[in-house]
Amino acid sequence: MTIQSYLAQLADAMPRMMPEREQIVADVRAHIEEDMQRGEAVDAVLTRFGDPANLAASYLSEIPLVSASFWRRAVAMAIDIAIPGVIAVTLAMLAATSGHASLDTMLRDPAIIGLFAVTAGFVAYIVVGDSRFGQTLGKHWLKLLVVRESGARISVCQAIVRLLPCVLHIWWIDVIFALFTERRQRAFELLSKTRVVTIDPAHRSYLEHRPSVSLAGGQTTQMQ
Amino acid sequence: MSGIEKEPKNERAGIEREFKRGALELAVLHLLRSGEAYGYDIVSQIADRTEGALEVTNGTLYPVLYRLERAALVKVRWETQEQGVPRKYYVLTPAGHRELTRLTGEWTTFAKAMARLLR
Repeated sequence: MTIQSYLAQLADAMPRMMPEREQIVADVRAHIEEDMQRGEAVDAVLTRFGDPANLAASYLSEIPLVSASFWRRAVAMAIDIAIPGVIAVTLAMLAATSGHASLDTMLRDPAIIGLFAVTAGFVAYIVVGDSRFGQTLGKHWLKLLVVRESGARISVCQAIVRLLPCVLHIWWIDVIFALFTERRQRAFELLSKTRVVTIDPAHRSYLEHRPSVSLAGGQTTQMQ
Repeated sequence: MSGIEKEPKNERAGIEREFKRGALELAVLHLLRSGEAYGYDIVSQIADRTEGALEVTNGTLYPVLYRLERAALVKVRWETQEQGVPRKYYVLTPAGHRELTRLTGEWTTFAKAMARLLR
């Protein structure tokens, strides 16, 4: 493995929009180059750094994760569903007024086809946004990030599981969990082992200078 | 059933991880008390001075150094070597000195208590 491919794998294990991502990659790059100065083989150096995904997890575990507030998340979701929602409702109303004689004619209705397309597009947008970048436009504007409980980037499967309550029309039960769980996680977020955190510096700065790990029976305050 | 069996194991692993992390943080701060050092130097010093009992890999040390740097307990000084590759030196800050004192006190109390218990 080359240094570049190692660093690429390291970066890939972290959400793209995580503010510390580039900083962590730069830190690891500096340490690798430092070790290379002693004339060791690349493989030997990289072996000491371990699996890039594990290294990313170790770094991410040192970053404080602050759960996003319920209302902040609600606003982000409202932004995300606003445009496809308006299009979908308009198409649904058009389809309802068309008066189809059979299922066959209904399925040929441009309004129905458009409705399916908008729904599929919305699902793809959320899944790709959350799994690839860690956020959608709504989350981006509200400075939110979807991560694994470790802070790492979520997988496509996890993004799909997170979206299941919408598909199954049980989103309102799912959302209630966010009001009562410690990390403000929805039921399907608990199931997918993901969470939504804020990357707003104003919300995170107070944790930066928190006390270190306690050695005398205290709990670490690192994760909220 | 597997979930029920898994929980205590995860909890134990978590405690062990936190304990090692705390010990490593204290070890790093203590080593930096006597002067600045760079990554590999810290790894070597820990291995030498603990006679290999506290085995530290790059993958465990650098994230800890990263956290200490973010928490302003250590600051970084870059020095360009003859070969042209800059080396990252870590220096203890006043806040790092205070944290070292606090952690040393906690560790000493804990170690004495355990020694009394195991006597």
